[in-house]
Order: sequence, then structure tokens, then C-alpha cells
Amino acid sequence: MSRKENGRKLILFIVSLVVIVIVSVLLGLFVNANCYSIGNFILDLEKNAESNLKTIMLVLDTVTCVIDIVGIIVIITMCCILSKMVNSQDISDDGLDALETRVDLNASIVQIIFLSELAISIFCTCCNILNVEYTYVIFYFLVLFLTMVEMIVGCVACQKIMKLQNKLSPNVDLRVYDFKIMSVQEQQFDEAQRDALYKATYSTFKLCCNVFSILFVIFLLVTVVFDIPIFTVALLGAMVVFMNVVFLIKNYRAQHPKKKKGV
Amino acid sequence: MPLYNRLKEYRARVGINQSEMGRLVGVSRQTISQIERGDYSPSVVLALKIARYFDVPVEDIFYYEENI
Repeated sequence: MSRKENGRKLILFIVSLVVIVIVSVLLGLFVNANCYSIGNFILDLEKNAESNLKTIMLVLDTVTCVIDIVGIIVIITMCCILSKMVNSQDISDDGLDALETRVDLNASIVQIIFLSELAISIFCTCCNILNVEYTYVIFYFLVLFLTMVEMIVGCVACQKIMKLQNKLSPNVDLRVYDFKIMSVQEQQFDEAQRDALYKATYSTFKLCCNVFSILFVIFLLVTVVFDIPIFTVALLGAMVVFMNVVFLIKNYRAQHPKKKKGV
Repeated sequence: MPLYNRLKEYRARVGINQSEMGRLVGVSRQTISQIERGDYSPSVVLALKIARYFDVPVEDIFYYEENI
């Protein structure tokens, strides 16, 4: 991949990130500015009834902030450890195998931590927006700020880890700001790496199909029994159907590829 | 998987490491390592490329035995 193309992708990635940050801050300012007076008004009216929700929001915000800070520290620490590991590498084949196993394991842990805390932060921010009259404004912005810091730290850490992995597998040149990262992986991997990728992808698909199907049935029963909105069930059902339909079509195409014209 | 190989042995005879071997046949070091460990069965093309590099029939490096 050319340097120019990578530069272009990096710029696109940074622009997307900046847009997300600006939109989130504006959304926060707008919602807080508009709802603060309404929130105070409601609080004056129903002080007792709202005290519980206010406490819940405070706990949620505090827990999210703690998770974010711990997550950021863990990601940075693991990144430094990985960097040290790769730079002090044993050049024997067995040494490289062991090193690679450790790097891949640590890289997976960092990515899981990053994704999990990002999901928690986004969930918390959504709760803050929805319950803005019960959320302390300082906490709203603290959670938002930590989410942004975490996104930047996470992206930089993931890029650093990918660089280390690229160093161990010179045939691969992955970047965190590749929007179609799975397609890039597929193109760059050799046969054994691609085999592992396909196996992992298929087992993930199988697991997701089973889990979503079970969730669909459970949510359907809960919806019927408790008479709650059916939107979640409809969404889960649509996901299960969509996944299976796409798989069936792809599977058919893979087994019966179209013959090229003139062959 | 009942596909066995003597790749490590052949590689040692020539005195090249996994990275060099991978570069010579156009795959990564990890692929060579997985083949040697028996975790991955190479494609026919790759098996032929490896055999051609050592200038031996493919059966000398890769062999199939059901009951070992």
C-alpha cells in the first residue's frame, strides 16, 4: 500500500474522529442547555420521586469514569510491555513462536478492553442524554471527555500493537484507520493465516446465530408475558433472518461460482 | 490430522530458518511454523513449491498415515 494512500486514510480517520467529538460535545451542550431549566423545574416538583434516579445516574457515571480511567491505564501499560517484548526479541524460530503467541494474546486483551469500555462509555453517555435532568452536568462532560480520551488512546494503542504485529508478520501491513480492515486482512494474509481467519469468522457466525436465536425466543416470551414494546424482538428476529439469508446466498455462490465468459 | 512432514529436518539440512524458508516459497514464517507443528496442512501448490525448493518428490517431505 502506498504512503500517499495511507496518509489519505489517516486523514479520513482523524476527520471522522473529530466530527464524532464535535457532534458529541455539541449534543451534550445543546441537551444540557435546553433541559437544565426544565430539569430543575421537575426536580423542584418531584424531589423525592427523582432522588433514586439521580443516585442511579451518579453511580453509573462514577462507575463509568473509574472503568474508563482503569482501562486507559491498563491499555497504556500493556502497550509498553508489548513494545518491550518485541524489541527484545529472541531471533530463534521457537522464540519467535512464543513471542508471537504472547503478543497476539495481549493484543486481543487490549482490543477487548478497548471495545468494552467504549461500549460502557457510550451507553453511559446515552443514559446521560436521555436522563439529562437527573445527571450532574460535570459528570456528563467528564464521561464524554473520558470517552474521547479513551477513543484516542485506544486507537493509538491499537495502531501501535498492529505495528508490532506487522513487524512479526512482514507480509501484513494493517492499520487501525483502514475502514475495511477485514477485506485488507483477507488480501494480505497468506494461505494459513487466511485459513485461520475463515475458521474464526465462521465459528463467530455460528455462535452469533445461536445466541441471537435464543435471545429472540427469550425476548419474545418476555414481551408476551410482560406486555412490553416489541421493537427489540423485531430487531433480533430481523438480525437472525438477515444473517442466515446472507449466509445461504454466499454459501450458494461459493459452491456454484459463476463461470467466466469465454472460458 | 494424519498428514505428517519432515520439513524441519529438510530445512535444518539446508541450514535456513523459518523466515527464509517462508520468503523462498512466498508465505509467512508463521505458515511454515504451523506446517512444521502439524497445525496446518499446506495447499497442493505450496507443498509442491516446498518440494521443488529441496529438489525432492513431495512425498519425501509430506506423508499421509492413518494409524500412527
